[in-house]
Amino acid sequence: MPSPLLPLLLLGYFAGTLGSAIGIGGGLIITPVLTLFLDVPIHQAIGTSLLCAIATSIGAASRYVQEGLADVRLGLTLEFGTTVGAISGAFFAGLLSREILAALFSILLVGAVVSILRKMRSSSSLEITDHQIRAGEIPQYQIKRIPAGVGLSFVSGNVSGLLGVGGGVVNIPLMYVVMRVPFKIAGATSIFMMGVTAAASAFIYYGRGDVAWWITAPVAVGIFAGTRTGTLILRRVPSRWLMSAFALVALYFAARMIYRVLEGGFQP
Amino acid sequence: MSDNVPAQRAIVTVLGWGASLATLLMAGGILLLLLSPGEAVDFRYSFQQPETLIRDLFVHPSPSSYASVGLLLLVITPLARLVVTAVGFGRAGDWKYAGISVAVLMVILLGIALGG
Repeated sequence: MPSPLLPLLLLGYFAGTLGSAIGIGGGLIITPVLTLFLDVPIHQAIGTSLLCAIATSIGAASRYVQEGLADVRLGLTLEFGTTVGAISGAFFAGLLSREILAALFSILLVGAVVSILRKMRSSSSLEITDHQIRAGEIPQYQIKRIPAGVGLSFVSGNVSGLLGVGGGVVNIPLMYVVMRVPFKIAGATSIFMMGVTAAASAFIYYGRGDVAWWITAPVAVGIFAGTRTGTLILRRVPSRWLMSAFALVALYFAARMIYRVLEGGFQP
Repeated sequence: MSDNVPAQRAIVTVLGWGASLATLLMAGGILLLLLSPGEAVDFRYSFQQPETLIRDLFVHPSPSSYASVGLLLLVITPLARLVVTAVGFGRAGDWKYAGISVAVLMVILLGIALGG
């Protein structure tokens, strides 16, 4: 089955740019495009999207860690919560209604977006400029409610595992709204965490043979190129614009989940 | 909280090398695929035999062997990042974060064992 190389490379480039700029994995774009437009079976599309989340993470995180934008200690702390949550979520998968969970999750996500937009209007969040990043002078910030953040990261890992949704769309509101981390730090730290969170599931898809190399390799190569552009965007574009882009993506995500619930039967 | 991170350089090195090598191998696979359109290309290749994949990369190089080893590297890199993070924090005597790194790695390995 020969792959349409150019569309896959371009898809990867777009997903890598957007994902690394606003801190999400790109599965939100990759999975529907692969299934709807390129007739890729859903399991292979999810497998590809998981590997692409890793590609976005390792492509952009090396730069974010080097620049001090990704908070390694915070990332590690939350990674613990999300990974334990994801594994335990697998055990409860049969006990909970995925439709109810998806609907509740969508409502919570809309609430988180409203909080982000309110904070954006009040200008109370810390801005980090490209000049400060290049000079290595990232302003100090105080992380609030760490125990609550770890607890919620467990819940987010749990829900992510149950619903098959990416971590970024949950982790950014968690860090920005609950823990009061500056938006750019939240985005960069989310990217840093994402590779580890996706790796566990990726291995499982990998072992099952649900990762088609002729689809995944071109998308991943496109992603690596896209992360070059995305990391520049995160550095140079004001947080307010990034928040607006994130809000749009998160609202689309919530609407898509609600639509699938109403359509009858939630599939990841 | 974004003060000095003991493992910072090691993390950047592991992620940077992982990304570069994976891209190189996957791009090599794509290039071979483009150069050999008439040949039979194995589109069933899976990741179930990593040792076979690595051997094939040197003995019978093909588009699938290049791309598949690149993807394997992609999946392994975040785990290698956790290992160097644990070592870096441990060497700096920051046992709390060294412990968290090891714990996350253990949870992922447990997940792989249970899921696989």
